Amino acid sequence: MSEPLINIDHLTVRFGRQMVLRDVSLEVPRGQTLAIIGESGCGKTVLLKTIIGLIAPTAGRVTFDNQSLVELDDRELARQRTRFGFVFQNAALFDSMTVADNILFPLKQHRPKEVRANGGSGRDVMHQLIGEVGLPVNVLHKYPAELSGGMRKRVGLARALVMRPEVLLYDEPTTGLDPIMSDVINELMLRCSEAYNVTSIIVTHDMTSARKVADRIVMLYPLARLDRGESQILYDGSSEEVDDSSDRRVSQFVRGEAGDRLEELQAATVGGDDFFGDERS
Amino acid sequence: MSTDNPTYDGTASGGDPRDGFIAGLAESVADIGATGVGIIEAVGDLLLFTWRTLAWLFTRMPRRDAMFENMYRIGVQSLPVVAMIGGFTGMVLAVQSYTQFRTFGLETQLGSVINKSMFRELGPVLAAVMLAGRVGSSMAAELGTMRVTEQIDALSSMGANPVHYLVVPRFLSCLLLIPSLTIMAIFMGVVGGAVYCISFLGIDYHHYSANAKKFVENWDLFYGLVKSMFFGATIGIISCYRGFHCQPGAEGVGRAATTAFVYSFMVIIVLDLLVSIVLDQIYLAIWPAAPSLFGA
Repeated sequence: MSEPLINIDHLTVRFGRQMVLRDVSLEVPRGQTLAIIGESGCGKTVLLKTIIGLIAPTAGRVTFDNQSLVELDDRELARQRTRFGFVFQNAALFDSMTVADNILFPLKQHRPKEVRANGGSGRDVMHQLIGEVGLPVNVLHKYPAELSGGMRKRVGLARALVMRPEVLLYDEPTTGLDPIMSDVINELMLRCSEAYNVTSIIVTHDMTSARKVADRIVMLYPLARLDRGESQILYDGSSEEVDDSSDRRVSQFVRGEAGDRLEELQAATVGGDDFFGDERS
Repeated sequence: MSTDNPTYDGTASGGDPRDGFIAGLAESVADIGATGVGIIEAVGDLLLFTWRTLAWLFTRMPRRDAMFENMYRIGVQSLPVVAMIGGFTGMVLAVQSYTQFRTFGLETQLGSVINKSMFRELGPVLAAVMLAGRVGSSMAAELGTMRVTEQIDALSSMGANPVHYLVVPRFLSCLLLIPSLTIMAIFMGVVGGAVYCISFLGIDYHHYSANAKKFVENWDLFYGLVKSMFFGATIGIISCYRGFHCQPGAEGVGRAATTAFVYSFMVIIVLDLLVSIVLDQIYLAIWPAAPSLFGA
């Protein structure tokens, strides 16, 4: 078996007293599309940000191409991060820049050889990407505040692709979008995986999206009380098999059924107070 | 395939065995200790942030377009406000001092008091307070919003250094342009005081200007400008730091903006005292007879 591109080895992440991830181990081979699913607040985004070195592990190690990003110096870290593209939940476009400047930002920052060799500013790459994500050219002069949620996500995807990354990280790419636009984003993710042969990691609640796009699904689940987090991997398998999981919590999640979850949440509430408060009595 | 199934312990914890007076006292002591540790951590974090910002000045300067944009916003757009505040402060000084000075027949000396105050104290402090209020809060809110909306994470994920890209141009603009704002505040204060004294209080122009020149030296201008640079650096660092460490949500952004001004103002007042003491000692030690600014 070939060396995994991303290797997460006994990762623990803690913020103060709050332990978010505990002893998570995961390998992502080159070219695979992995979906990370799990309830809100179980640490999926934290895991994604740990992979790219935005969050340092409390214990354990995350390596990309056999090197730990958090141990690199600033210059090498910046170079390695150009090998990633990150599509944020709300796109995280720079408010003060136009769409064109947002997409060109990584090129201006790093001036890759290909762009310098063509003697251009990367505008040809930008126009190609805008077409690929299905946006009209007139959005290039607009500011992010003037765009719809779906358009912002597609601009975010174009910006993530502009450096021709080896890994694409998606943080809830379909959240907040209508079913049609969600499917458009799913199609774009599939096309990116095929056209650019990238390794993709998608954090999502959307099982339709996970089933459609991912080769493999990993489910995170809080091991301890819900309010204390400590998520671990509950399921790690193919996207076809996830529906047949024998684990009650996995099957409930993929079917979108609450089951006895409300009772569990109430039992986990600190001091016996629950979110109904006095009105319940 | 599926991994080992971890079990979910959904039960609430039992009653807290620590209760009573001793436990309450212990918790209070622990809270005080935690607050102390928190303050030390925050100061250490601020110093590291300052170090990282200063380190960039010696390795790679910020992009020219980012510098010009920030300099315009911080310097040029602050000039009218600083000018107005400076002018009115000079006039208020004249109004407040006139009655006292007239009692002793020293109203022609008003110019020296107004000018000395403006050069040494009010010019730099007024410019700094205006900069902290107008620009510092705005910078903290802007960077705080970028933090909350993951724009700072986006910068990092694209291999850009957020301190170099966002903090260094703002810090440098504050540091380099606050002397200009201070000069404007001083100039307008001097003019405002003179206009009010001569036009409204009827003080003789020649006596007023002679006394005004007599007591102001080059050192006073240097003194004010050195202080202002300390203030500018403080505003730049504290405002950016508060923005970078903004708590989530609209409340977090609002708090970052408010605390940026409050902390900047507190540090400015403390620095004002310390720098004044040091500069006075330097003056007395090595340059006791500085030439007058106006050659009087």
